[in-house]
Amino acid sequence: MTDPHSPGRHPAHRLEARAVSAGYGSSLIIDGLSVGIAAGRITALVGPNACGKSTLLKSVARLLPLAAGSVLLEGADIRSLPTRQVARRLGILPQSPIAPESITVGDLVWRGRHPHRRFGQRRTAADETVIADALLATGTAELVDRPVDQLSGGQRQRVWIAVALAQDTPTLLLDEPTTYLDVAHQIEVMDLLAELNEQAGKTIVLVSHDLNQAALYASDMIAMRDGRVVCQGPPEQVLTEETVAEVFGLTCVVVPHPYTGRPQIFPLGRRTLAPTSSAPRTLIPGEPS
Amino acid sequence: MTDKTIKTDEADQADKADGAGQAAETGGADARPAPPPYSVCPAPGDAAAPTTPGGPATDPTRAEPDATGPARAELLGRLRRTYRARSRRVTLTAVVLGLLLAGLLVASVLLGGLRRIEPGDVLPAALGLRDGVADYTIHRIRVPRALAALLAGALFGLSGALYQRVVRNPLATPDIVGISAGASAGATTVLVLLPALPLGTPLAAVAGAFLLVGAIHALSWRGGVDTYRLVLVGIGLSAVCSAYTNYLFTLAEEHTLAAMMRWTIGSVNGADWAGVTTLAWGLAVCGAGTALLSRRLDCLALGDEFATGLGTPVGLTRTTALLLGAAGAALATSVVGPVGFVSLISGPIAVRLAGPSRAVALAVPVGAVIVLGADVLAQHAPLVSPVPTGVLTALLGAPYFVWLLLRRRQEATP
Repeated sequence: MTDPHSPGRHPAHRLEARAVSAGYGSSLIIDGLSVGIAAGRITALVGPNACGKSTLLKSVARLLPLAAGSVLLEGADIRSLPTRQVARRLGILPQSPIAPESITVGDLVWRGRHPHRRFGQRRTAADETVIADALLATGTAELVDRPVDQLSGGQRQRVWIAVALAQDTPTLLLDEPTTYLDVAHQIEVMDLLAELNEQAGKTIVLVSHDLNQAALYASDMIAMRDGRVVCQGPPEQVLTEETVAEVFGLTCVVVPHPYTGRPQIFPLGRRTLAPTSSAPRTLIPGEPS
Repeated sequence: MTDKTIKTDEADQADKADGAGQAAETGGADARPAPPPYSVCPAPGDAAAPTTPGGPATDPTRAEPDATGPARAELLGRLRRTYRARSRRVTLTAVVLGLLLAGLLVASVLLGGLRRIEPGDVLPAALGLRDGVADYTIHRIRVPRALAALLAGALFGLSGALYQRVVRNPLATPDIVGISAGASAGATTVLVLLPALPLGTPLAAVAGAFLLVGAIHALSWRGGVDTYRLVLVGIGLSAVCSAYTNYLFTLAEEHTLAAMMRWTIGSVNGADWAGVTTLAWGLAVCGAGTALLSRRLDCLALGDEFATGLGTPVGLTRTTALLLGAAGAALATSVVGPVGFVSLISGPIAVRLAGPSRAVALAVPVGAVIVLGADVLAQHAPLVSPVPTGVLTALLGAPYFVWLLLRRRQEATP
């Protein structure tokens, strides 16, 4: 079975890390890590704090210098490509981008067009169309004239996604796009990413702390611990009690989502497992004995 | 939208149930899957089915053509109006500032009276076409003074806005992080300790400023410019330079004290054509450099990581911009002394006038208006005049500086 999402001339892996070592200063967070990310999918990187998932994302997006190894974007070494050319193929939304004081939504989204502009080139009708589409896709069209610093957290995150969409790249990397958002806004952002993947065919890679959300929305998950990949595959294969125990050191029970059947975890903490617990323990399926 | 997502996911599940008999169906202990191989598990081909059964769609608006068609056209119109309004506001601001500058130039030359000069001689004298009193008053004294104020203000405004933009901190301007203090220290050193040196104080000021910039960067370097440390180190070194300059005052001969005053407060009094030429070259070079960098600076304002993602060489852009800013501040200080707070307030004023997108460019005329206006007041305002120009800009800028310290918001940059 071939992947209908990767057109013939593209390799199956949109992004590939080959024996990548990277870190901060002299300490390597990931060392000799290899992983491939398939085109046309939503891939979620999960794992405990400091497991190297953000480091992997940043190395792949050339935000961190590689100590060793190489990153291939659509089959070509990312360091051999001019950085603006990479910026036309690969968008990255970091965890905390900065909005200049009193900038309006329209002006901020326009800055996402930077890699597509030649020197001295003015705004074209094509630029405006892409910006309009980015605003419509993120539901931020009515905010165009508003200053970004007056928006709510959820609105602001959608505006930043619009900036990344204005960059108009087939691949989009997001570092914890739902952190700091309340649950309704989290779902809103994840729905938006699912639609972008579904309707525009974008390859999406995101770092997530929420295993259940990752399992609901991602078609691939990569579980990491201590700078290495423990398991990669569809949520059903990655989000198992064994993997969660190995990756997080957490006892949990996995049940299918009542609507989608995707695996969802319920953590079993010390209190839940304690004999004094008032939880109806006999009703828990798959309880560790 | 939600419905669709769920349905597709259900389709996924149906596909997968056919294939591998996944255990997620029940989640019961009996039906649990074999432990996954702890490595890269499946080939991508036989993993979860694609989310869109019909293959990749490319047009984001395809899903709801009826709903988005008119909405998109309307939004496009609105976008164009928004961007046009922004451009108009920038142009209007620039024109108003230009007119203000022209008016201030005329006032600066004409105020103070035209004793023994025919009104018809003023313009020719300004161009150096007359002799005698007219030439002396207009061409030697007033015009260079006005032009020096204008150009130095422009350079202060530009260098301050550059620093604020690149360091992303409204406090990080050349005068606050000590570049002006370095220039003063360099100039007073030559005045007091090496008066025989044919070096000239302006050159010493530039040298002092660059020494200080080098020291700041060396001390705040952590595999790249650490902008937070840059501000703190700069404020510290600025204090050291001021203490050193004050110490030199105690060593100075009486007749050099007057010359030294300029290097502690800053004044355009006594500016000559050589100074004007220096400033004009400085503004041309720094202005052109900034224009070449302007789009990268816009990207840099979004944070280092986002800027890298947009294809901006962050380190190179930041270093170049800091060097341009330091050069501008050093050259301006070398001619008119450390006229305080102009580089601090010009950028934020430009943001208030026309938004952040052209703030660095508009900080140039804003700085020029501030220094030229302050100089006209310093010469002619009742009660206060005559005072050094720097006294008035400090009176204007220091309260703002305190307010900024009290407010100190994270993202307050031009």
